Amino acid sequence: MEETLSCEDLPVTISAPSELDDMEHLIRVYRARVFRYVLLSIRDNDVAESITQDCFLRAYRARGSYRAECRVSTWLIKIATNLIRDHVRRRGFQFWKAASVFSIDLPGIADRLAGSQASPEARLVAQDKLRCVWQIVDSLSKHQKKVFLLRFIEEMEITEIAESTGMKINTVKSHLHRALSAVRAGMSKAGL
Amino acid sequence: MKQEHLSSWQIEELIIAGPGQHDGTELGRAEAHETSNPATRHLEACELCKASAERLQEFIHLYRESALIQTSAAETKAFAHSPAAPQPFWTMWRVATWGLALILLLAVFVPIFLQQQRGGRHQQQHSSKAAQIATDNLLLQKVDEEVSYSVPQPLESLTDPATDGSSSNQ
Repeated sequence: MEETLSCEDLPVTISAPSELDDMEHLIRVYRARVFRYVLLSIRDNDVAESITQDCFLRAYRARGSYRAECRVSTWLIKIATNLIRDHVRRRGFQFWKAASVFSIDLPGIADRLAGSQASPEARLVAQDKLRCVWQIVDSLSKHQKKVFLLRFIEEMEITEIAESTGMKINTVKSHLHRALSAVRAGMSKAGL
Repeated sequence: MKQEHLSSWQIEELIIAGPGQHDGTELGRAEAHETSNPATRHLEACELCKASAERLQEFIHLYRESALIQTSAAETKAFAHSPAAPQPFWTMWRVATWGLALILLLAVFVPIFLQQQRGGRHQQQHSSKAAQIATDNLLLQKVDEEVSYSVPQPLESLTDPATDGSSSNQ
């Protein structure tokens, strides 16, 4: 039996619609998070920027409806999730449009992660490993990737993920299990 | 006694549950969960299961770190045009709203103004035309008077040719 989600179960850190009036503060605090989630979901810089702005604009317009029953970040991620869904639907009809695809700077990231003291061989190995990691995560299904990002990148609680995505708690857990299974399978295949 | 290893599902479950990283309360909750969960206790004791879980955790950690670096750079690039205290887009929205209002205002008043100007011009043209007609009429009247003056007044009676002839014969 599915667990029912109540927003009251969620912890509240930032509250009051009045705080939502200070949009500059809100953007300063949450923009990076929303942008990261959108960018990793859509993999298009321009669209991610536009959706992030749209997300804050909608939040500002709908600030009166915010009841402080869940975190502001959860609320924003929920808006972003809806916008991403709308965008993906629309994109289906705009397949001819060229996307400014988000390209990963693997050598740069590998250098940063391996450290400045690392040998060229170690850097190459790190770069190769990183490429495999990104390929495996990219191969996840839409729902698996969504919950994977929210749980492991945004470090949201299961209840928060359920609230933001509109899924039931058990569905979130199920998608997370499937995502991790797919990751394990991918790791075995890539020899990681 | 044969030791049973954790299933993949159990390892995944532990990773999904993971220690909370938001605040102390969640950490406390996670710690309580760890102490009470036999799977966690097994993980601590079994090297094989521990290694399996650590490989998965390392994967997630690597993805997370790289994603943070990558998206942070992309964010800086994407919002580079906005200053540190970001020029809020709703300010732009307000500007756009006012701009739209101004355009609407112009759209309403400019035709009215043009209409008025056109009407004024028509009136001016009309009055200048009337003045022109009046001048023309005056001129015509003057010309008429001049012409009438040069035409001989009532014609004088013609001389009798017969009388003229007799007098010449005489």
